[in-house]
Amino acid sequence: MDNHLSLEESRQKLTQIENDLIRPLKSHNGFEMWVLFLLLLLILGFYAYYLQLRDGLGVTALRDYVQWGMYISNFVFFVATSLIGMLITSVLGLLRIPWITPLTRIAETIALAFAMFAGIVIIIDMGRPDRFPYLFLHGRLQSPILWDVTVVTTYVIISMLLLLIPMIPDAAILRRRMTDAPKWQQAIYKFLSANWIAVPEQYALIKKSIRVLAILIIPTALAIHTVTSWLFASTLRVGWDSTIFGPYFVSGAFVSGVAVVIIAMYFFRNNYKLHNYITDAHFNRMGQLLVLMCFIYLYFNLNEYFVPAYKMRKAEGHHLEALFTGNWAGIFWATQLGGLLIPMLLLIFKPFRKPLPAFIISVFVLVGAWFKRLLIVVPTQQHPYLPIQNVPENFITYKPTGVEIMLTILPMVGVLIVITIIAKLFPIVPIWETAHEQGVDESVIK
Amino acid sequence: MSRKQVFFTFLLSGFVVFGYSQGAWVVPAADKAKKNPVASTAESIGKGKNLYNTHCKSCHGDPGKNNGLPLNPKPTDPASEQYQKNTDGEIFYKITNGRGAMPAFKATLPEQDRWHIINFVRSLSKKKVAENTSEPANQADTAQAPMIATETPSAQDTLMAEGKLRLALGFEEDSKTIYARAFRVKGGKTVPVSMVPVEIAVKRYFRDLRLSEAGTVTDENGYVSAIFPDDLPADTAGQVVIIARIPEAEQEQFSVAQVEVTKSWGVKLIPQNMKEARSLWNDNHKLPLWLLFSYLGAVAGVLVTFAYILSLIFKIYKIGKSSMNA
Ligand code: HEC
Repeated sequence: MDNHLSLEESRQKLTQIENDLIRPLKSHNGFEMWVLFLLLLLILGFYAYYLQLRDGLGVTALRDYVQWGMYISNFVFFVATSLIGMLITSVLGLLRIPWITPLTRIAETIALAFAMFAGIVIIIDMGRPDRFPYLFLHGRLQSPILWDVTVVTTYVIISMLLLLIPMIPDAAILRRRMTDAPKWQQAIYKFLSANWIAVPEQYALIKKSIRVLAILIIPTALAIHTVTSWLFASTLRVGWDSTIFGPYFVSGAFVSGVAVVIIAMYFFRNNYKLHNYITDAHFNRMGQLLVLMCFIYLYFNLNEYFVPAYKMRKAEGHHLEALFTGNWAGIFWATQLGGLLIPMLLLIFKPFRKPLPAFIISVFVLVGAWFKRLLIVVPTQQHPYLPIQNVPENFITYKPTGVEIMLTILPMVGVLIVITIIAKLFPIVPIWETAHEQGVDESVIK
Repeated sequence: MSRKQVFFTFLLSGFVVFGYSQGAWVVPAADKAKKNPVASTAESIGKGKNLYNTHCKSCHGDPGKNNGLPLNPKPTDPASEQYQKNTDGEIFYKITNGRGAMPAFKATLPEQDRWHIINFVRSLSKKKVAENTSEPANQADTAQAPMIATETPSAQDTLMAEGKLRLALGFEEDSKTIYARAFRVKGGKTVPVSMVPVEIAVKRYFRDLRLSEAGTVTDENGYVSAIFPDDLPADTAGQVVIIARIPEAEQEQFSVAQVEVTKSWGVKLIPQNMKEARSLWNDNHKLPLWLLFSYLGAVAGVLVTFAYILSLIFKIYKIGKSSMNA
């Protein structure tokens, strides 16, 4: 660092950064209300799950034709959103983009939380969750489902390592600072600090581990969402039988991931009073990143819808008409325009990349991203190759039930709980990397 | 107006313009006297028949049935007396030059083919004569022809009245040649019948596989032959059913006759159990090896990396510990 500080200056600077970033861990302003709100939703969700366990999947709107509904859409959405960890820590990190430093932990936390709950969403989708072990006992290695389980698990572990390894110096600082915290919390800090004494050898080891993991996470992240897309694309169904589903899913994943990071940035900046660390410039940069991601995704959308629509092969035609002008048209155009095209166009202009507008636009993008997954998963199943005949009305239409909606929200609540816990135990902006960037001498960071 | 009507109107206007209406079709004397240079062999007649069916039947109809197109003048039935009155030269001239609705085939059919058609047309009137007169030409010829090895007359043939047209099959094992013979039994003697359309085929699902050329007729010794192809798939024992019969379209004119013989000439079918080999669609323990190794390789790579990372972290831990102890 060119602005290198003397040891004395370094200590002062570090203490100031520590104060700013650790303060939110100690103050409980509004925290109880938030926890209460989450607990309420959690109880509602568990009740809904109890109903589903007791009565079976019949309590949902899933029937013979639409067998994959909101749950699987939710799964795809979760896997997609978790990919942001790879984009921020790995791609931008390996490129040594300097402004991402305060955002890496937010991104890794989000990645870990969403990846963990992606697996749980799948269990929610099972009518007989007691049969979950059968996946490993009788699973076929030829099936993309098993690959998916493998890569999601791998991704969860890498995300966890990428969250915890950069936490080692911070854990040492916390151990020193959080002397009034409960015993178990101090034990966690002690364990995670791994005898950190801030010697150059230790720094070298940390940086090496992060670099190795940052490389490993790239194929893993690509694999997790590509394999998720193969769950669809390896069938012959209209709307799914596509050769570009892999990149289509991956590019879409970055859209929702960047949006969710902007939303989280906005919350932490305001509630944790981190205006000096997560600045307008960060929103500006993330806004630009979102424009790029939206643009790439738009390009894939064009290929995915326009090319088959130009040909209008018979079976595909029914599906596309349902999306463009039929019963799905409302959601389809709202998602494509309100959740993708308009946000992208707005974010091109600098004023819209200020924190508040960027936050609002990101909410639209995120909601759009969720409905986009529904549009990919459900309509296809309503257009099988064999005609639908002599079936009850509710086999044809898909109207999610209250229980189903509640159980779609439940894993989202889970994600929020995980993020809340991590952000309450650890500084959401890494102390040591921030200090290092501001010229604090490495040897004092312990 | 339908297409047919347009066609007819076009034809009729053609008559008016060229003034060919009903008048006798006069052929120059030199052409009339022209002799047919192609011998009337069974082969030539067979070819002529095929050519007739392709190029002429659409207007002139089935010989002997007088079912040609209702034009004026009418395309005459080739078996009719009016048609047969023509000399070979006259028919040749008419085919070559055409008149009115009768197209000129000068450019479309080689001369040779026109003569084949004439041989076929002539055979229509000679048929009765030929059937009754063709006895085995001489003993030597018959001796050279392969022996009729198998003869399996159908049930109705067994009850046959004397003189009924029958078929038999014979085989030459080395060259895998099949011979079918048409014959009648007369006064205890076998009389071969020539000019009988006979096809040799192999039984197959849905539609039998014909081995003899379309339109083949028996030669003067009553034989039709065909070569059995080397690569014909058969059942697990290599068995195929070989059939000789009078084609359905000809049965009315000749008679119903068919023989079947089973031979082991085909390529043996070796049934494949789809679940035997490793493949994507098979059970878990029969998965393709490339997939197994790709999967295990990827998982092993990840596990090794994880172990490496843990070792790095352990080093961090150890460095701290030793300096704290120091
Ligand atoms: C487009 C219909 C058509 C086709 C095809 C056709 N013909 Fe004709 N043919 C006619 C008509 C019509 C006549 C009567 C012509 C006339 O007398 O002016 C005729 C007359 C004849 C005659 C004269 C008959 C007689 O009584 O003198 C011969 C011979 C003949 N056609 C042979 C053939 C041959 C051989 C072929 C096939 C190579 C053939 N035609 C194809 C329509 C056709």
